[in-house]
Amino acid sequence: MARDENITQEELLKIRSELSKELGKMSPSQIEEYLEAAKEVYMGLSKMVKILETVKA
Amino acid sequence: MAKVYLDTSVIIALANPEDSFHRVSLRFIRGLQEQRIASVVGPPILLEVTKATQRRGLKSALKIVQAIDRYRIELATLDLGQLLDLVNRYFAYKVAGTKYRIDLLHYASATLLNCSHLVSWDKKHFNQRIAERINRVNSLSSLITLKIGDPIHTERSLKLG
Repeated sequence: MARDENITQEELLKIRSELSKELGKMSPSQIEEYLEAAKEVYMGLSKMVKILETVKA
Repeated sequence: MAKVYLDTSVIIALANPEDSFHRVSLRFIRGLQEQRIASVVGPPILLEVTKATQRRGLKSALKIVQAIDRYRIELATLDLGQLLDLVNRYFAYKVAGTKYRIDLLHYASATLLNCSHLVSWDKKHFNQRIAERINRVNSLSSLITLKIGDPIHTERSLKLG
């Protein structure tokens, strides 16, 4: 059976716990860099969503 | 003027029709839209979406981004230096321990974005006890006082629907 694609509330808690640990090991400049990189990931995903919606329509 | 910061637990509920909070979250976001109350998410969600991509793959992360897009939730940007400074101030005043770092980033984002409300389904990390400490530091720093609650509580407080 294919794994559900939806993130659950429980998984979100795990994601947060993992992120809090990771951020705790980083310097402020590394956290800023990490956030900048995450923004690029998000923008890429957002662009994909828009393209997929256009194709669907 | 009300402005609502949505914690990622609300976005997760909107994205997943199987989530037990889905229907109420949907009613809540529609209520905000009807009342023309702005709903925003901040920089911490970028980290959470990236981590979701890493853990569960592209399709799972796309669903979160899709929900933000579909419900016209604003992804607000912030000065990251200022954001991290406020989180460090929360730590200095012992608002919460380091395992709450990502949660404190959400509280700090909501504060710096001048939101009146921070809404979350995660009552363990977003509750009145922590909110009181957050607001004490915010008050000392001449920053906004946040109202914390779940969508049901905030719906009543904002008289939606």
